[in-house]
Amino acid sequence: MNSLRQMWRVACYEWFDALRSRRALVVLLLYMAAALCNMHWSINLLHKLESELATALQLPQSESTGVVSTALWKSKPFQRIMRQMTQNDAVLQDITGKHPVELIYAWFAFFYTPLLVVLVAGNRIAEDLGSGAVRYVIFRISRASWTLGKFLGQALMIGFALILSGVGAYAVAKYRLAGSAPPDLFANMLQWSGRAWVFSIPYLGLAMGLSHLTRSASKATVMGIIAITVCFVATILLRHFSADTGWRAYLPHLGMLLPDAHKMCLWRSSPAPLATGSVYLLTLGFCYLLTGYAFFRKRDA
Amino acid sequence: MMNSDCLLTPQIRHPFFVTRPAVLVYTRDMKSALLFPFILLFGLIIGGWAPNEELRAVKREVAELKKRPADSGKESRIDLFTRMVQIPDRAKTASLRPRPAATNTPSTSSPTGTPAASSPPPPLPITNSHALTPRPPTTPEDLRARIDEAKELWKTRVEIARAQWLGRLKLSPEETALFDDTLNTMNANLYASMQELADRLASGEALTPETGTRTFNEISDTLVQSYDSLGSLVPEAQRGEVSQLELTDFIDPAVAEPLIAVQDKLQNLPQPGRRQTPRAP
Repeated sequence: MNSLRQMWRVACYEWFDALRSRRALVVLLLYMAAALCNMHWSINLLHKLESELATALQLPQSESTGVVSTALWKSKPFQRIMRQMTQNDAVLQDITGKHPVELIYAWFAFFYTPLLVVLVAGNRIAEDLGSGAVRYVIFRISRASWTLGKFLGQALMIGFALILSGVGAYAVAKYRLAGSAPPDLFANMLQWSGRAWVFSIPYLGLAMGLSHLTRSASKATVMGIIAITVCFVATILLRHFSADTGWRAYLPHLGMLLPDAHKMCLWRSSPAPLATGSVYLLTLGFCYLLTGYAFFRKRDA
Repeated sequence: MMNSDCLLTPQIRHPFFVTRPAVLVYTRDMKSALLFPFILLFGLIIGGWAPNEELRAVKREVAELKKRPADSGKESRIDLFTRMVQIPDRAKTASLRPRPAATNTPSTSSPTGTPAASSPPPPLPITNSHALTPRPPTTPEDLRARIDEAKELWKTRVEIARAQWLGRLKLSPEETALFDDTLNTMNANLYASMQELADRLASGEALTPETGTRTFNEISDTLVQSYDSLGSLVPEAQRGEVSQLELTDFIDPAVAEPLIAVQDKLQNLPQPGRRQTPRAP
């Protein structure tokens, strides 16, 4: 119980330190800027695409963005295109009929969150190791509590930033769609923010785990960027080289150790894959983090 | 930030113990808890192994099943002819034993059981000359397997259909013989059309849209002539009854046997309806 309390205090201090140093503001602005710009440009692009489509189909121009795209979901050729894109019939079934703006936000949130996580949180432990601040803390609490507390603090901060960016993105969508936004758009976008947050946990664990290995903040950031690049590339390679027989048949199981293998679970609506994917991702996050911690455990701070 | 109540280190009990090994700062419970994510991950992967394998196998099977209609699209050239003579697209039970090879060389034995039980059918040439040459096992898509299966079903079906129509048209014994003759002639003509097509393809001639249309025309013409012949057997009042007769029920699947030797050529042809040559400017 004491360990949990210690963790919580480290997490609180992480927030206090971020607010004091204006770091929290930078994180929030970064996420908000990414979400707002993405939403604004996406709606622009969608509107242009729909206008062109309406012209090509010799239909009257629609004043509201998203109307044509929503109707397109009913088209079989469009469904086939989406099936090719998602390469997953179950996911396609779950996202069919959703407002395109919501899906674009979800896609971008899943895309940029790991990158921002590595940029924002990747150096947090290395900074304290480099400055020697960690010595004042681990004199009083366990190293494990310190590591887990830092992780918890960063995870909560990213979650908060994602929720706020979801609210911001909804505000832009509401303004740009001018009354044509569906009533459940706000709840759905918050839900996607939550899912993107779960997806960010393993990357946060990876970045912070690697941060234990160096005292240089910049090195930790670079290591984090290299690590997520390796994750993306490894996922693609494993998928490409997987086969039904021989040693290649084991490659998909190796892929389970990478976050991308569970991403599609978070796109599902039914609770079973959603829960399984979330548990996998959270576990992977802790495993990455604690692997880094294992190197730090007996090292001279 | 840190209050004294959060101090877990041995310094509380040993105030002079300033530097101490890092391992002392956490309890045994904490140590075990740190292993929990790894154990959970191990359990998730091992626990999911079997269901994932089964799921992958099922997905493979589903993909193969989905692929079959696509493959059958490639075969639709041959299917256009075989469907017309009531041969299924796939045999439900394909023989895995090697079969005698089929060639284009005619033989004298008759392959057909005809609807005319009373009158022997005209001998149709058959394509089995190298009867002892083993062929690879047949697949459900193999034309030989499909014809064999259709023949088994056809024998029963044609007997029932013939008995029903003889009763319905109230034919005399002489008219019954003519009825059987008409159907036998129809099968013989259809066989001749198929044989002609097979010979053309075997000689290297391409199956052009014109060739296909002409073959269909011959087949349709044979059926129309059969309707005319059957119509002439019955009084004018019963002519309407004859037009209800489904002549394809009486087509012997063996009429498609000449196509067995050229089925590979037919399967490799593009789908009908798709343009083979570029549109003229």
